[in-house]
Amino acid sequence: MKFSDDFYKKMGLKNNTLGSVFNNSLINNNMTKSLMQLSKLNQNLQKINSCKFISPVKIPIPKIPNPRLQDAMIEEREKIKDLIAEVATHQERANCLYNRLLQNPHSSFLLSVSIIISIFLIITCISIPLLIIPTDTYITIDSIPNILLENLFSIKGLFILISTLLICSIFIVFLIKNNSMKFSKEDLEKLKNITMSENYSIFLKNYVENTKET
Amino acid sequence: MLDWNVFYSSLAQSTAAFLGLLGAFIITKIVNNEQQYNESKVTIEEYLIIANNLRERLKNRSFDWYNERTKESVLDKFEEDSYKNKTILYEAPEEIYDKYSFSRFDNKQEILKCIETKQKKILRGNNEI
Repeated sequence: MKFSDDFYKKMGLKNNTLGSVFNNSLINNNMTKSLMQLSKLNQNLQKINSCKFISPVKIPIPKIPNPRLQDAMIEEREKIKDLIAEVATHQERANCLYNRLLQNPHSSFLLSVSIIISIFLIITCISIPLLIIPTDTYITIDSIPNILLENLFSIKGLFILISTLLICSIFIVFLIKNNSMKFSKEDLEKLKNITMSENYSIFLKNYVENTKET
Repeated sequence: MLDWNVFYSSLAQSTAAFLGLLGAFIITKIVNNEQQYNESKVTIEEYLIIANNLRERLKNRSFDWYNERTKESVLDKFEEDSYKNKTILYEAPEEIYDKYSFSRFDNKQEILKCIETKQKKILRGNNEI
């Protein structure tokens, strides 16, 4: 919509084109009065629905900062940071313990093998020679079962059998004890759970995800 | 001629001596391992208790309040900056998220939605959409 130059001079407007004037971000009291005067002069302006000609451009309203709120936020952030540092330290320690216990260091394979060899030695190198003696002749391997059976069912055999069984049972108990010193899956799962910061709080989970991408 | 009786008795005695030493070592080692195993079990329990304590302390922190206030103040700053530089109203929400310091404890997808909503609101207010 265009008006004459005299009209613009009367209204105190600078530009000729009405649209660009109203889109100017500098709105002062004169402009507001001008708008009112314009709407009285031209009835058609009141009927126009386009906001570009009637309503002024939105201006930023300066927001007054709230120092108390900012102080409270800073304080809360510091407390959260301290807590996160504690969580990080604890999860590192838990991680070290988990990695160590995963190997089952208390249940040694070497000890199990040593016990099994000891039991075998007791039977072959102690009990059987003691069962065989006294003997006059050289004993062949074929004749060993007969000699053993013959000597077993005697008082000598009884003593040797009892002592062998008792000593072997002691070794077997320690073998079972050695093999049982392994950590259960539930304990290791619980420990693994606390090695990750994400499992402490959903907010820490968000924190880890958001900082991982950066 | 070898006296087999001497041989068998020497064999039994020497093996018994060797096994006696080995057995003593094995038993001592297993008893020590058992003690350390029990200590490790106690350590696991202690670590779980400390972890639960940290979880409770994290629950007591006002994460929601902090996230909301941070989001409000950052979005206000974003709105202020949009009056100086309108191009940020057309940038992708992810770029805005990286530029401005939103709370890293908040859900990123929700923040991106809020950024997008704010951009549309400002643009609508400026009659540009």
